[in-house]
Amino acid sequence: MSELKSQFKWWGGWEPDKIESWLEQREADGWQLVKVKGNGVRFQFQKGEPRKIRYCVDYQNKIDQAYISLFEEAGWELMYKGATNGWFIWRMAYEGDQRPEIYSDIDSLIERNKRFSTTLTVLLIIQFPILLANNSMVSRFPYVLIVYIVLCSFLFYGIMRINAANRRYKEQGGRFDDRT
Amino acid sequence: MVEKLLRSYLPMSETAYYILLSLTEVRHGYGIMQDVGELTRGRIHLGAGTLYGSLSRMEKDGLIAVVLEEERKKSYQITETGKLILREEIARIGELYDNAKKMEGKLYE
Repeated sequence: MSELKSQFKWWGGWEPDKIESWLEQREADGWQLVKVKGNGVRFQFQKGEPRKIRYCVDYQNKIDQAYISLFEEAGWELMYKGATNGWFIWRMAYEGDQRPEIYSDIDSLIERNKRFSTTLTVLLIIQFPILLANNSMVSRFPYVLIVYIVLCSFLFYGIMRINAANRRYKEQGGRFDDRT
Repeated sequence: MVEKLLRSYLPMSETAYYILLSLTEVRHGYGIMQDVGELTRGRIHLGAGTLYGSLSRMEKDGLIAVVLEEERKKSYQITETGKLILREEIARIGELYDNAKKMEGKLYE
């Protein structure tokens, strides 16, 4: 019976590359990913041979049935599909030194980030009518307002981080194209 | 309508250009990846996410259409609108090329 380990790793939707490199490093250390659970933050590993595997995170608001089959035909293995969020984690073994990519140009990578930032923006905007509707409750229990402020700041922080990441991508656009 | 599409698609990204060129014949997603790989002798390797995004956008804009759907796979082909836009892009590239040939000699003087 090989050694199993379950690890909790929180990651923000504005830094998917962080979780991508973390998983790649685990594989290089011989911890092979078996399953992803708990809304994409609980990772189950099995001890084995070190492998060179690329992990890619995708975000889609809505997909059709062609999405999964297109990725699978291109050689990607689906490791996680969010039931309530739009996140996907795909993986593929390296072919030689070539690091596989699901986004081969910078524009489509920026588009992925924009899809997530749109979701956060919608969530942020709908907080205000909700707050107004609950006005009487808020005046009775002021701490509810604090919860709202924390939630809205969090959403706002996420949007800012994505915008900053997209600006970085645009600046290094040329270099990214060289890799394809 | 077409004016708006011309403005948003031209000048075309290499990704969009080769997808449209490839869809002058009926192909499914993975078939496009292989075809573009062959056309560019391996230089352009379309990512699955990039291709999926481009196909969705072009289908929504009416540049390509789904002509066959089987076993969760969709096959696409370029539409008349798509052909019109691709012709415009080819004319633009032709101009780039002609001017390059006209001036190229000066670079070696």
